[in-house]
Amino acid sequence: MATQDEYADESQVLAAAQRGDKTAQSQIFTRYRERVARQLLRMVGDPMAVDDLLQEVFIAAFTALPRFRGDAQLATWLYAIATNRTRNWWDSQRRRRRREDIAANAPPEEVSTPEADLESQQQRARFYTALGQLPDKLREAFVARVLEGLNLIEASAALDVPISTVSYRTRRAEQLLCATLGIPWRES
Amino acid sequence: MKPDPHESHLIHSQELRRLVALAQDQPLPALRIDTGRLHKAVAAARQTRNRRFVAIGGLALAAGLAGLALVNLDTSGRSQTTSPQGHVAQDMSPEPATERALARGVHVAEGEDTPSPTVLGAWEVGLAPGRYEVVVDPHPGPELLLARAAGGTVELHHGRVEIVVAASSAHASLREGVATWIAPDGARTPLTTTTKPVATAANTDPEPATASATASTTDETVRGLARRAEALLTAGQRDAAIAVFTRITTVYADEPAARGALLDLAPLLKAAGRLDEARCAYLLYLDRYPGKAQLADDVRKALTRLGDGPACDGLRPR
Repeated sequence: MATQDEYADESQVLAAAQRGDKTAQSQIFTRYRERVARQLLRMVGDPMAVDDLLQEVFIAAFTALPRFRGDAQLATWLYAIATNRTRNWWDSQRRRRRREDIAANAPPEEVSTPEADLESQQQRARFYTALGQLPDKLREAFVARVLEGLNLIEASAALDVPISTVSYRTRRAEQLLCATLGIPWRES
Repeated sequence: MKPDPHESHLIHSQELRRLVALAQDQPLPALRIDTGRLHKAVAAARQTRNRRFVAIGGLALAAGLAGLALVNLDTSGRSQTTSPQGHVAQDMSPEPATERALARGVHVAEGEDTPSPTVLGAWEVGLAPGRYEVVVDPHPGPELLLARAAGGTVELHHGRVEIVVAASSAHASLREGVATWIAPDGARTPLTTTTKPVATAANTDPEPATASATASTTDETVRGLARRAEALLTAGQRDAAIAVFTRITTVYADEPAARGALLDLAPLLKAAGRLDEARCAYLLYLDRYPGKAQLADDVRKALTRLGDGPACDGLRPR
């Protein structure tokens, strides 16, 4: 049976994982777990949602792995899956909010933390509430470029849209976010 | 690598930069999921999927048998006077489910915050509230595209129309070509490229989408071109997309969108086998945007992969 040490090269790991080798799949999971988890956290802003989303991403990835042709890097491919999963998450969040009739600017839950932490938490909640109100395509471009720091070429590959579209959507997202948050877009 | 939200070209607002930094600094929670749990979850998901396939297969089989039984009953009743059983069964079989698709040469691109159009037929679409760009390529036949929206319909033979649809009204602006606005009462108003947008009267309240239509004409044109290029790419029309991106990078070279268009153009030219032109596009990028170090490395790598070639005059190899 293969051990993790036998797969030093990513292409070997990938080929073995595509054949259903659990050791190779574990190696991929271990290698990308934290990175994908961090991406998910930046995409949704809710630490409580990360574990479930992480599981969904890797279930989807391992189910689709035999069809992965290697056109993109594995990291880019996983990023695209994470983007799709969080899109579903935002949809369900919006449905839940509608059901519960929570106003869009409802104050975040109070948690007993030191004052500075609480303030940061509230500001993050405010930011993600505004982010959640963006159309999916704008939010995804903004997260990829600004929160994740992908360059235009990487973001274009991950989101599967032309570079000029990524650029436009990011700018538009920033304008809308500023408008929603009530802050000026361009300081004089 | 931690993203740097302070890159000045990325975010203009200082306050937003601060919020972005807060979001980026949020500590990752302790992850409960490990490889063991993941493998169990993958196996469970696979089992559920298999059960679903079996259930769907069973239902399909049952439906097929029931259908066959009905056909048998029907044909046995008619067998004295009608055609043979096999023929009748063939006639009664349901039409294969076909996905509606627009005719070749018809492109409908939705705006950023707009739902996708509903394809009602090869030459007919339904538009929900939002912004759309509708393009019909020139064609010799009489076919007309009907774009149905709240408050009326745009009938387009060829050309490009921008349509802003509200809850109960719509605005249509012809950018080029031949089109007619059809009001709900059937009144027809030819659209021209020089007239103001035709607006239905059902709702005269100004709304954000309408207001944005009065924004900078140049910006609208560049944005429209970029959307058109994306629609062409989605439709697999690479050469047409190349033409649109080329136009953006040459006619609107000073617009911010030209930079992205140039980066889109180069790989498309390469994919089309126009390697010298692709090289020129990358060189033009480095020449035009020397301060954009962020992508320069990627562009130089792409240039290296293309190898040497003739000198360039803008986008054209000499």
